[in-house]
Amino acid sequence: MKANQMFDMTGQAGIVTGGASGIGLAMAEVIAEHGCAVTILDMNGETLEREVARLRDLGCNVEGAVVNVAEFDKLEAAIAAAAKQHGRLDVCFANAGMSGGAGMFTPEGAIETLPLENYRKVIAVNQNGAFATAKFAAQHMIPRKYGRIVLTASVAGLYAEGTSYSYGMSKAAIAHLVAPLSRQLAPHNVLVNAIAPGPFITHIGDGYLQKNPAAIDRWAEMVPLHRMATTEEMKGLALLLASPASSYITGEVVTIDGGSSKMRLF
Amino acid sequence: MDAKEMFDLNGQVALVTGAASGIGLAYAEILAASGAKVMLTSRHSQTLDPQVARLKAQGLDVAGMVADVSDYDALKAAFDATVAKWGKLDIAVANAGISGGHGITSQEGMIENLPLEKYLDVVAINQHGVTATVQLAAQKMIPNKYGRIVIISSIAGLASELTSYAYSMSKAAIQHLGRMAARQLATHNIMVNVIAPGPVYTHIGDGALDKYPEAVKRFAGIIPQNRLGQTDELKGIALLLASPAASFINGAVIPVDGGALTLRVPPRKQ
Repeated sequence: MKANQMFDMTGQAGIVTGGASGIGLAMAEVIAEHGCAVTILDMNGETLEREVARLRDLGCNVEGAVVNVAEFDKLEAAIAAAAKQHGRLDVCFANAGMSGGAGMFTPEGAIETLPLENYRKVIAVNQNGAFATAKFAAQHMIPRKYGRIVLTASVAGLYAEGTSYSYGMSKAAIAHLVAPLSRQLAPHNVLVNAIAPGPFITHIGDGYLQKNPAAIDRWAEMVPLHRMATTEEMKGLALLLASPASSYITGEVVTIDGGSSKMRLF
Repeated sequence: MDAKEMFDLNGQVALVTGAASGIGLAYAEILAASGAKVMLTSRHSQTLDPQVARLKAQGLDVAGMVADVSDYDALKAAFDATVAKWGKLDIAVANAGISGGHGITSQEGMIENLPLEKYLDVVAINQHGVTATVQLAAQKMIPNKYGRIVIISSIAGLASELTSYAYSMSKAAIQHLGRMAARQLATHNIMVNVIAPGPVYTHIGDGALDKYPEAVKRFAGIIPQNRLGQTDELKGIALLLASPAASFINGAVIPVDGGALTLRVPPRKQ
């Protein structure tokens, strides 16, 4: 197979949760650009509508559905509707997530003071929502003996990064989910991997980076490449893991972090 | 410091959750036997009370309190009672957990079939209960600028075991809680570490191991020593991490699994 065939997704159907902005949008965009019919699930109806219209103008086959992944019934229905519309579901990016707010070195985010209700809300979206997304997607992939499930974890789930406890813990749980899930679904030819991004410039945390440009410089200092990533830089890896090209990759957690997690000591 | 001093817990105060049986009871025993005053908590007074009585009869300074770790107020009351009784808290072992039921290769445990409510119930105890335990422990330890927090995870949180999704995900999440809390609490001289036991003979899952001897055999097959661990075999690592000897061990996740993680096991036919 030539490269253009290996990455060709013509005739396939996919879903991307949290796909209306940031990393999720890059994921949706790249598989749509390579021929996949994509249903973008996102909480934010306004952004979703705008991006779906933009991608359609580019000639992509894209639908949108307003869904909060923490609402399991609506999530299940939206995934079933997407699979029904195209008669198949080949690809699922379980990407939706939230920042979790105050980091562990702030007074509001320290373990001794953090409100556990906030912690539980983040787990409900980042961890339970991603698990439910994988579950509902698997139900449509198993009968057809083909599937690609890609979970968005984070470097913050592999190392203690200073994020909120809920963010780090939920991402650790997601990164670990690939181990049992890839094993259970392998006989169905459904492959499961996770992407663990390092610092990407996105709108996460209500536009925290846009409001605090100095934070971008601080992040850049921690990365051997000395800059944060643009969401465009997610596309290659996302397409690899979603496409036929990754037919023997399963159970992996792939970091994409400009080398930052390999330079922890000195 | 000689070995006796390094592991001496005289004058120290500990709390162990899920301490009425299994590994938790072994932790409580070794801490008490090493000189600590120990509060044992459990959901069930009928299992807790006899164990507390037995340890007291051995001359150990222990007390028991019924607390479900998923009930924050009850758990807080246990921490408060410990400090009220003995004046401080030096050691907390966040051990309470449940098995999570059907494994990933059983029909009921497969992702496409499993009820999400069941998954949520397990996360509430194994993950949120441990987070609450670490929070309450930190609150008691920070003012004293000393602490040892030991989180009990599992090798199911490190590799693909055949346990339930909820069990392995929650155990991975609390390993990461250990890494993060280790970093955050280091400046308070509180060390946070994680033990990841492999298959150990306990009563978890309502005595699943007693009921299914073939499961015991299967577990033994993935361990180089060809046997399950005994709860007593977790005592050494627990005492190390709870004691002054661990003053520079922080954020570690330590498997105690008879070497199980060194093996790759072929998947069973489905």
